[in-house]
Amino acid sequence: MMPKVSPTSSAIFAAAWAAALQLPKFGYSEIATAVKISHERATVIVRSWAKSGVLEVVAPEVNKRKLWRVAPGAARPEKPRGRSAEENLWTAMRGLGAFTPSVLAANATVDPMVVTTEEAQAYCRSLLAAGYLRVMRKASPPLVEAVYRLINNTGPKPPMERRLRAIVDDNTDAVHLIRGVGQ
Amino acid sequence: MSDDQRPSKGFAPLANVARLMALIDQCQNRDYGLAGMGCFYGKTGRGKTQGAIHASNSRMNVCHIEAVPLGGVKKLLEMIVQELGLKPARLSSDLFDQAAQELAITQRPLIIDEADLVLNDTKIETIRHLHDKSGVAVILMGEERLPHKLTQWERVHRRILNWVEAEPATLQDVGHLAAVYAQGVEIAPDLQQAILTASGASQGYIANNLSNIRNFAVIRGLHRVTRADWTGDFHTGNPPGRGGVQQVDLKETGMARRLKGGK
Repeated sequence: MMPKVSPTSSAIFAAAWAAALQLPKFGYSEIATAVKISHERATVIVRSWAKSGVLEVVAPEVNKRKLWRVAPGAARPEKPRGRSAEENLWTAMRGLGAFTPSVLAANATVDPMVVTTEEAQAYCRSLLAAGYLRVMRKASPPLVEAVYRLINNTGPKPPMERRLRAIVDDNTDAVHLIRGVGQ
Repeated sequence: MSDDQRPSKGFAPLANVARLMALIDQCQNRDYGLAGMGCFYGKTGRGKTQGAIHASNSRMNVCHIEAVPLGGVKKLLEMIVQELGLKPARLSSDLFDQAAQELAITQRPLIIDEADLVLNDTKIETIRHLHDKSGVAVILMGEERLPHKLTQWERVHRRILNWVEAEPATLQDVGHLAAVYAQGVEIAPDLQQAILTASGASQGYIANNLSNIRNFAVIRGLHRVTRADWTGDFHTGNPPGRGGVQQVDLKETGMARRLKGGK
C-alpha cells in the first residue's frame, strides 16, 4: 500500500513544488531525486498535484513514463495542513498565557475547524494532570469557569494524550515502554 | 442570536482580525518586485495578539513569535527557529541560515509581536535580511508609535508594503465578543452601546464587562440583560474615583449632575 504523505511533511511538499517549477518536465523520479525523497513519496505528491489540476501532461509519453509540467499560471497547491483541534488549542494557549476554556475554544476555532468549549475543557484537564497548566481560579459551575495558565511552554507541537503499552516493574517502580516495529 | 454571533465562528468576524488577515494576504501575495513587510500597529487591548493567534491557526499557518526584551538577536532567531519546529543551532549565523531556509521552503508568513522590542540596529536588520532571503511576508506588530519609530531605519521603512492600524472596537465587535464572553445571555443593543462607550472601545475591557454581565445574569436567572437591568459598574480601565465610584458611571447615570445640584 502506498504510504500517505503525513501532515507534518509540508516542508517536503513545498520543496517538491519548488523543484517542479524549475523543471521543464518531470515524472515521479525527477521529483524524488530533486528533493531526495523516496519514489513512493514523490508519487503521492505528484499525484495529489495532478488531481488538484495544477499540472498538465506532456505528450507524447516517453518510455511509457507519464511526464508533467506545471500548468501556466498555476498557484502553489495548498499544503496538506491537517491541523488538529489540539494543535489549534495549544497555539491559542501559547499566545494567550492565561485563559478560560470558552475563550480558548473561540481562539482555536478557525474556519473550517470548530472547537467546542467541551473539547477545550477536556484538553485543559489532560494538560493540567500532566503539569503543563496551573489553575489560577477554580471553576464554580455554572457561574464561573476555571482560569488556567500555561506554565510549561515546550514548543510549537501540541502535547497529546496517548495510550501506550508499557511494562511496569513493581520491584523498582520502573516503567519500560514497549516499542513496536518501526516505532 | 444572529448567525454572525454564534460562538462557532470564533474571533474571525472581529474587524481587527480581518484587517490583519488582509494585511498578511497582501504581503504574501504581492506583485513581483515589491517588498513584503507589513506593519500592524495600535493601542494595547485592540486585539492584535488575538489576530496573530487566529492567523497562526488559519490556513496561512503563520509563524508567530512574541519578542522579548532580553537575549539579543540570538534569542530572537532561536525563537523563530523553534517556532518553525526545528532544533536551534548553536551559532547566531547558523540560526539565521536555519530560519531563512525554513521560511523560504515553507513560505510561512512571519509575525513579530511586540516589535517595539526589536527596534535596535542588529535585530531590525536581521529581520529585514530574513525577509529578503526568504521572500516571505514579515509583519511587525506593536504599539501605536511603531510606524514613527521605524522611520529610523530607512531600509526597513522602505520595505513596508502597507501600514494598518488596529482600530477601536465597533458595536458589531461587541456583538461578536458577546457570543464568546457572555455565552447563553442576550445583551440588549442599549447595553452593548453602553459597554462600548464605557470600555473606550478597548476589546480587553469589553471582554471584562461582558464577562461581569454574564455572571450578573446567571445569578439572577436572566436570559436577556438590558441597560436598565445592569446595576453594576463598568470596567473602564480608569482608576476609581472617590468612594470607589468610577467616572464613566457618574456621567452615564447623571449622578454627577445631581451632585452639583442640577436636575
